[in-house]
Amino acid sequence: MTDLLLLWVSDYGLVVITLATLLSCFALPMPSSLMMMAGGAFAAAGDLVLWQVCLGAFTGAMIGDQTGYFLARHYGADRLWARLRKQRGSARLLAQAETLLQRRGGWAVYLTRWLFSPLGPYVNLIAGATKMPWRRFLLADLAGEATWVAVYVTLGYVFGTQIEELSDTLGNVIGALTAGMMTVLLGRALWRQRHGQR
Amino acid sequence: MKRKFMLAGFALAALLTAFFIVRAIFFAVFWMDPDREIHPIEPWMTPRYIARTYDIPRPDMQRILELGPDETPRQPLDKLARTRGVPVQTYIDQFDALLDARPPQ
Repeated sequence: MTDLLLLWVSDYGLVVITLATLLSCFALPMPSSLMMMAGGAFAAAGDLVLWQVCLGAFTGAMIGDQTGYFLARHYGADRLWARLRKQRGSARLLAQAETLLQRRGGWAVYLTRWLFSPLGPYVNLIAGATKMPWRRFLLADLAGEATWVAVYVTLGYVFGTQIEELSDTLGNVIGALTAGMMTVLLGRALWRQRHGQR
Repeated sequence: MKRKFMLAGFALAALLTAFFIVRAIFFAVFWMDPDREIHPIEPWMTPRYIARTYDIPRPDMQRILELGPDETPRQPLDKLARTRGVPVQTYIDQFDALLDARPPQ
């Protein structure tokens, strides 16, 4: 599977990289970071142009994120969210999530673009559903995706000879960071619940 | 009830964290192994990419791929072989032979 995707990158170039980052914004299993690294590696070898690789990956990611946000905001998810908020079972949890997003939303969007990237697609939907101000979402999204693209394309450019090994390692580091962050957040919530309710 | 769900989520997240840490270490160790066998030349690689990655002088690469001195097509090895009706493995074997004949650095 990986080899086939890499074959597409070397054969069709930018289009494939752009499509990969776009699809990865909808939580489709796309090794988009590997493909960006391949783009960087091909740029180092002289087969692709560096700025075009960056622009292609960035454009795909921006279109994907903005689509997720607007779909959630205008096509029903906002109403679903409002209804869930009125239900007794989920109201408190959702209200907490909303408060958190209002207070720290910019950071949540920025960090889930690249450091906790597996959560990115869901944060897009929640941001849209809770009607996070579009300007703030856009700015954090621009900064976050620029970081994501810069990091991976540079890694591919520098470590061009070992992109597959690098991608396997880094993918799991990102997985561990994301799962670790969830563990800490859930652990903190459990701790507070126990000590706050007594 | 809600607490039970949160506890289950917490346990699952902790397990996943451990799982990914172990995998990251495994792949990092695998990556550091310098034996060339684990970085084989593959059909998706382009001529220029091969020359750069395996430190093969461009004329040698062009000789193996039957290219002119100015030709460095932006095509994967697989496609190059297919347009000529040659199995891609032929080229990979020739590259491997060249690399094996080279004195170890």
